[in-house]
Amino acid sequence: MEELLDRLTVRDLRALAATLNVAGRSRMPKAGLVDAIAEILRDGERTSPPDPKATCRHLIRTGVRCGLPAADSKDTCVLHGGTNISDVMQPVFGRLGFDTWPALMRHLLSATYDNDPLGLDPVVAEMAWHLLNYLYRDYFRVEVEGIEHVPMAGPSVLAANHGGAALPYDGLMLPLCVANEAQAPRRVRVVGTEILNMLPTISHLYRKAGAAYATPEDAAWVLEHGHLLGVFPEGVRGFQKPASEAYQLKEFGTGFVRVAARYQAPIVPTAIIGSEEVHPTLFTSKGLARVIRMVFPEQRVEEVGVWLNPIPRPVKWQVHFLAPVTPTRSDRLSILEISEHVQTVIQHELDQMVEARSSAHGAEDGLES
Amino acid sequence: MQQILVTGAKHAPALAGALGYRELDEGAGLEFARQLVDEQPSVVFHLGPKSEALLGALGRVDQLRHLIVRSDLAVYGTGPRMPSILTPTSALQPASNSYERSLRRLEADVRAFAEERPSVSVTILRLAPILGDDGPLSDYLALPTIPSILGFDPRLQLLSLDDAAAALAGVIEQETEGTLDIAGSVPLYLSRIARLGGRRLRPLPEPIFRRLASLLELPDHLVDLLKYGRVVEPFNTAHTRDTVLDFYGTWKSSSIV
Repeated sequence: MEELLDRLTVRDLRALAATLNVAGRSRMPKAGLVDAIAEILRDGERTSPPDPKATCRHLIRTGVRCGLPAADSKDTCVLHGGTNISDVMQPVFGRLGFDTWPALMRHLLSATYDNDPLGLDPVVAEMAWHLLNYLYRDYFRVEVEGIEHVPMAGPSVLAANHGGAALPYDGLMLPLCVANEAQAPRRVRVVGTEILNMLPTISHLYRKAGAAYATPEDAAWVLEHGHLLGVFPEGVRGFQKPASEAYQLKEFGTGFVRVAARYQAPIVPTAIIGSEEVHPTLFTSKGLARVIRMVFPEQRVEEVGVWLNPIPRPVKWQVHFLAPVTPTRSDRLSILEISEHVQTVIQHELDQMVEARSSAHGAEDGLES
Repeated sequence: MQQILVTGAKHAPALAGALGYRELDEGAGLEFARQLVDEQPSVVFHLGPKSEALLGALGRVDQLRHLIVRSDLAVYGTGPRMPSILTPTSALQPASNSYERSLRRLEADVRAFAEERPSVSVTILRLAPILGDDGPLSDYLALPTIPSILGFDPRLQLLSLDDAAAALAGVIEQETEGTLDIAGSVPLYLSRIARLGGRRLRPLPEPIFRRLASLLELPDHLVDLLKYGRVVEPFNTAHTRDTVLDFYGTWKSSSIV
């Protein structure tokens, strides 16, 4: 076999090495390439599985195949190109479970697969999905309606109301709604403020879990590549509402409409209830905001909500996805109109949801349901 | 006949060596400018951080067709408000160290020169940190235990010397104009780079890391990079993982010898 390979030019050998994924091939001398390719081909003859679709054929080291289950109709697994990790949320083993963690950990630690350009780490994201599912199913008992409004493919935007005061639980639950309930489980690329980039540990975990930074460039990247963007157009102001203003939307920003208009992406108005009662805000403080601005000089927060319960309350959540609207024109007034339309639709739905909840259970915040 | 001249090579000896073109080193003050005018090169590739003498002399080089200036991705700055993927049109972050400021001055001077001499193609190459050039970042990543900033895991795109040289040769050949970012094709987290090299990461609180960095002679702009990272849409280059594996591979074998 070596003799045959030796007759090829270095250029052809490089191309062959590229198809076989030989590590370090770009600077290997010709003899090294011949040896590495011959080794892989021989190894392939010896150990190729009866069903080539069963396991991932990606080489993680010279002569060592990945061996994880292959993704549908591909011969590589989720981590090595079997799915588009930026868009599709599919567990490596087809299901979530702690028994899959040792294998996932091995791949995480041996760094054999790529992150996506925004920094998503599919293994970290899957572990986060698995753990947060306990919060999603057993603690917040999230109920989803209208999941069919979330487009199955192509650039699209989920625009939701923001709440939570302590932690952006809605930012964590929104991607889970789509991953758990949708027919085609897409990854929602939620965007968050710069404070995420400043906080130790959070600074890299939020990226690895699949979120991005709320800047027009990041949003444009998500839509340009045909992925699903998640935004909270109220921003930090919505996050820090006092309890008396719960579910009263603050004015929406227009950035999300502008970027959606550029890529003709449908915007799905999303109404979430539950998030505002997890840490009910007693009052908002300007003094505390000043202290935060001293620690994080780049933060623009003007008021901070003060809450007392250290443990999130087990509120029942409801998430309603509403009929999408596609911005067709990108002049200033059309953008303002769409932004206002999305805000009105969400506000209307929120009012109905809160009313239905309190009349059904006679409860203020759904704790008894 | 093209006459290609590399100037300011002493600021990047490894890169100049990999390029293999004739070098004209910056002499004292105007001596360098006079030599440059005498040479009448058609293509000048400038590796140094300063441009006054160079641009002054090039004003009298009528043969000049193409000027290529090495800049650095550090010109973008870094920080918590930086987009996740930068392009040459992205806004620059506020400069936080003198290296970034000097790069911005250099680029501004070169752009002004490009406007004065529309007949000359001018290219600004913003290079990612190069691995294996004996620079401070290579030394840092070659440490047996790699210190890092506690709670931060920057995304890095690294270039190998050969890739950098190949990209530069391509620019000369095709006379590409404008501002180009040249970096490894897929960014890696620092934690993964350490794992690929079989090294342990030792996270330290930021003030301690900064003090250690001054002992390791790690300049400020690299310390900032190791906190927030920086990712650009790259030119067609090799995967950062291949670059890292090659770097550690050669490092290992040379350390055994």
